[in-house]
Amino acid sequence: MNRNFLLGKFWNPDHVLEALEHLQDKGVKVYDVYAPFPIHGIEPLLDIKRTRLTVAAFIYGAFGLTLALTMMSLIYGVVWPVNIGGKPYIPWIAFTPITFETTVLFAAHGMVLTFFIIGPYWPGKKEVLMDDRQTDDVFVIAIDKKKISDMDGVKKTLSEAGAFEITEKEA
Amino acid sequence: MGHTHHFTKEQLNERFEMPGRLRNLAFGLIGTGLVLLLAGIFLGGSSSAEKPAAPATEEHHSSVTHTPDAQPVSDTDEAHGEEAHETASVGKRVLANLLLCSVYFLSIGMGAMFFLTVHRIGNAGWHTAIMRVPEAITVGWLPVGVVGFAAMFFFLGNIYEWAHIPPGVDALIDTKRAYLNEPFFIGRTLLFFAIWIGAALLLRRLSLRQDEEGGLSHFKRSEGISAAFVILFAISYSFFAFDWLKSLEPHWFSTIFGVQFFGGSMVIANVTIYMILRYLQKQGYMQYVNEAHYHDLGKYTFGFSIFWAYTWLAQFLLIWYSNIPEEGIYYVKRYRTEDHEYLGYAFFFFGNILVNFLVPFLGLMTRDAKRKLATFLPVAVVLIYGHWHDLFLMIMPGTVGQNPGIGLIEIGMFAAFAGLFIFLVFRALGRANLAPVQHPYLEESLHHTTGPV
Repeated sequence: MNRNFLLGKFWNPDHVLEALEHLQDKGVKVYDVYAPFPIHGIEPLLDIKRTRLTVAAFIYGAFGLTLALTMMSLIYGVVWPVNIGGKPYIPWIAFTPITFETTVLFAAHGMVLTFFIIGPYWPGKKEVLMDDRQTDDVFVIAIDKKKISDMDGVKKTLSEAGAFEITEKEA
Repeated sequence: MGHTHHFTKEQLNERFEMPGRLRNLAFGLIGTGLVLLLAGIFLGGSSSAEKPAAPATEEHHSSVTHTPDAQPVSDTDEAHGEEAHETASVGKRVLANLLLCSVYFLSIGMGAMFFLTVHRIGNAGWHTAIMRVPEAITVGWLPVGVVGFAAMFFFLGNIYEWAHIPPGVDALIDTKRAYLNEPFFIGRTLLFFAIWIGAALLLRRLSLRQDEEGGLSHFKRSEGISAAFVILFAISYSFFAFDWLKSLEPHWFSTIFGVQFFGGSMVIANVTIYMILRYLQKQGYMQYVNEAHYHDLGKYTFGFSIFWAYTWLAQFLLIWYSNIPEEGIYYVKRYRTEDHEYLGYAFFFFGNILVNFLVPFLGLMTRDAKRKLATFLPVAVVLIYGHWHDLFLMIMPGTVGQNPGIGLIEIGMFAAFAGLFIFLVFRALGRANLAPVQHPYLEESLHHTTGPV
């Protein structure tokens, strides 16, 4: 599904923030901003919601914890009890390091996989480059053309904020 | 974003003046604490034995322990258990509580000292706006707080087994006498205090002179002092914990003991800094401290409580696994509930994990929980109790022994110490600007943010 984007290109991240503020005032929905480095304070201007990755991490961790405790208790307590130095069959203290490791393992790997899928950044994914220079020194504001009602006004806003080039691209 | 307010010179130059209510609270705590303590001594002394309590006990002690003909260990122990126990408990209990409270508040001061120095050598900027609070804790409390230890120099034999069991009685203690003897013990304690207090006063002086003279020379000098302190602190604080806490049970040993004590100290220091900041802001001071500062203190509290739990388990797990009698007895005393070794600490033992790990771990996990007063404050209160609980479990089984309790002596001693701590720290706080106005990183700290959202 290809979409047509209006691209405003900037040399300066401060001009990007200025343009975004004006676009927000006008109620124009920006698709995304492409930048060589993270721009401080851009999140509220793009209406980026707080990530729920932390909640996912908690759930993965809780799953890892439950899995470790269940497996160890079943294996050492029920299926194949082994007397190790006269210790109890289900010693919570000996289970603690493994439970801890499993919790961390599931939380960490779960987060990475979720991030890859939601991002999306999975290996081999063909990345869209709005402009080749976005990896070097150009900042690009991309707006879905279908969502623009007043094309001239948007272009004017972009160039007034300092865009050195305004183009279109199908992606 | 959003923290771009500018603060005027007047706002940064403000000084704290102790409100009458706080002064009354501090003196009230000291007074009530002393009354409770005396009441506890009197009631405990009269109820547990017919004869008057403490002095008789000391005599009894010395008569048992200094008899030239060496009795077998078990006999000495029994003598303690049977007769001495009932009467010894009051005097011992007071000393044990003096030790507990001295260590408790010293660890806040030392945690604050580490906080200051480690941020300095890391060239950290975020804490600059709040650094006068840990500074006041160190210079306000440390020089006075060590007096409690100095008083205990005269009573070492009453709570430290190695100090009153004569040579030739206990082979295990005899092998440690080169280290555990009173002159060396007192000598190294004094050396540690000299290093710690010296460094605290020196850093404070540099910080105050910078306020007046500006420039970078004082700031630069503080780096070398901080670096030296952190190295000396790592060694001395560990040995301090070995000496004053671990040697209560001299048969037992654990190399991670000092690290665990350090973890607990950092938790309580961060919580104390947090509480003082919240109080100051409520009184209208330090309006430049924002949620990001609280967030960072919350991260420390969260992280160090996990670190504490980690070392707690590391110590327990290895001893539990290897199951060597002289190591294991330390834990048998504390958590067994079914045999004659039961001393009544099992509740405290498992409660320790609840208050010092589970509560901060679950309570401070989310970002908002660290930033909002309504969530951080209850956790902070639990941790203030939690550090006491942790030290109680380290000290009491080796001193008071059977049937510990939290009674008038415990509450009174802690209240008196807390009152003195509040008074001294806030008085020190009022002796300088609340913001280090000429500090090169102040501007960075005023704009501190832990990111958007």
